[in-house]
Amino acid sequence: MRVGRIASALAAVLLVPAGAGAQSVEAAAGGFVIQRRVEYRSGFYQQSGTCASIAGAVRAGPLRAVWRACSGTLAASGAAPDADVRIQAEVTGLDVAASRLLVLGFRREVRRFESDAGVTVWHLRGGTVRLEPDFGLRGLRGLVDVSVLGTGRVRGGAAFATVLQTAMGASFDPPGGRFGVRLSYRFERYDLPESAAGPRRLEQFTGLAVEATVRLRGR
Amino acid sequence: MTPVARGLVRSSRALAWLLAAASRQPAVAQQQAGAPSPVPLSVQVAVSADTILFPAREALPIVVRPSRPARVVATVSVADDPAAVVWRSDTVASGPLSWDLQGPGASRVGSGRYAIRVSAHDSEGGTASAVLFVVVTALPADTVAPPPPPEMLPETLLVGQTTPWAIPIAFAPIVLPSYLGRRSLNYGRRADRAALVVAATVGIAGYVAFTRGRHLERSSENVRLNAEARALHVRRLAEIREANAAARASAAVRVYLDRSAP
Repeated sequence: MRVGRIASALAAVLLVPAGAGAQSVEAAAGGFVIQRRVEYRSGFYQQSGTCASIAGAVRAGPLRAVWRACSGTLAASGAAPDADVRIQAEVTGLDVAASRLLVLGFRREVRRFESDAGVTVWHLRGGTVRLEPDFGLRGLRGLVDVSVLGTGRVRGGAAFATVLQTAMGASFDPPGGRFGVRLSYRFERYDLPESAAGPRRLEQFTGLAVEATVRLRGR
Repeated sequence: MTPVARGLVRSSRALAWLLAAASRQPAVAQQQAGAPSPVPLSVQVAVSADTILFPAREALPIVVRPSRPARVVATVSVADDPAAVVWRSDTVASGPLSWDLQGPGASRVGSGRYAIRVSAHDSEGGTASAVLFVVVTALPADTVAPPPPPEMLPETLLVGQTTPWAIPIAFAPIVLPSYLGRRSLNYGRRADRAALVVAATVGIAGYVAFTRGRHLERSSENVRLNAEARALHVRRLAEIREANAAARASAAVRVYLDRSAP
C-alpha cells in the first residue's frame, strides 16, 4: 500500500504533462573547473584544470537534440603519470520531455586525452535522466542530471564497468529575456576493471560548471 | 315629382321590401315556391369586434349567414397576400365556424393582419362571398428572464512554492561524492569548494523562491465546483426555456376587427 502511494505521488509529481512546446534554438558557452582524481597501479594522482565548452540545442516540441564540445588542459598536482593532459570531449544526444519536470535522453560522448605518453580515447554511450523542477520564482529552476553510460569503452582497451555522470545545480532564465545562466556541480565516475589491456583504473571528475545560455530563436 | 316618377319610387321601395323579406325568409320562400329565386345568393360574415382568446383552449367564432341555405367554407389568409392561406375550414351546410388561430403545421399564427373570406354555394349554382379583416396580436407571455451565467471560480491559482526542491539539490553536491564515489578516491579529500559554492547558491536561491516565489497551480476543487455550477446553469436554462416556450404557446391573443380595411 505504502509503495503504491509513494509511486502514485512520484508519478503525480514527475508526470505533469509537458507543454506543447514550440521550436527553439539555443546556444551556450561556459567552463568546467575540473578536479580529476585517479587511482592506478595502487597509486593516487590528482589533476586539475579548466575545460571551456560550447553547446547548442534545437528543440521541436518534446524532442531536443543537443551537442556539446569541451576543450581544456589538466595540470598535474604532484607526481602524476599523465602530466599536463589536454582533454577534449564531444557529446551528442537526443532528449524527450516526458513531462514538464522529467526529461529522458540518450547520450553519446567521445572523450580524448592527449599527453606526452600518448592519446587515449573513450567512447561512452548510454541514457540520461534530467529533472528540472520549478523553484517557484519565474525562470528559476533546479537541475538534476544523471547519466549512466553503460556501454563505455576505451578505444583499443577495456570496457568500463561503471560510467556515471551527474550534475546538480540550478538555472535562471530571466523572464522575457533571451539570456540565462546555469550553475552546477558535476560529479563523474569512471571504473575500468583490470583486464588484459591493463590494470584496474578508477577515475573521478568533480567540479563547478558555469554556462551562459542564449536563445537564438523561439521561446 | 310627376305621377310616373312617384309610381316608380313606390315600386322600387316595394321591391326593396320584398328583397329584404326574401332575404329574411329565403329558404322557406324558395322551397315554398319550388322555383328559382330571383334574388341572388348573398352571404355575411361576422366575428367579435375585439376579443382576447387563449389559443390553447379557445377558438375565434366566425358567424356566417348566407341569404338562403347554402354550403359555406371559410379561409384565412395573410391580408396582403391572399394566396398565403393559413387556414381553411371544412365545408359545412350551416352553423358557426371557428378558427383555432392555428396556421400551417399546427402552429399558432403570428401577429399580423389576416383576411377571413367566406364563400357560399347553394344548390342552384348560386355563389357568394364576403371578406373581413382582423388583426391578431400576441399578448406578452408571462415569461421568466434567464439567469445570468454563474460566477466562476479561478481554476488556476497563484500559490506559494510547496515543493522544496532546492533542499535536496543543494545538499546533493556535498553528499554525492561520498555516496556515488569511490572511497579510495575520496579519502583525504578536502572540502570541495565547488560543491559548497553550488550548494550555497542553490540553497539561497531556493530559500528566496520558497519564501517569495509563487507559481500557478490548477485547482481541481475549483474545477469541480465550476463544472457543477455550469451544469446547474445549463439545466436551469433548459427548464426556463421550456417553461417560457409553454407560456408563450399558451399566451393570450387579441383579435380585433380591422375596420380600416376596404
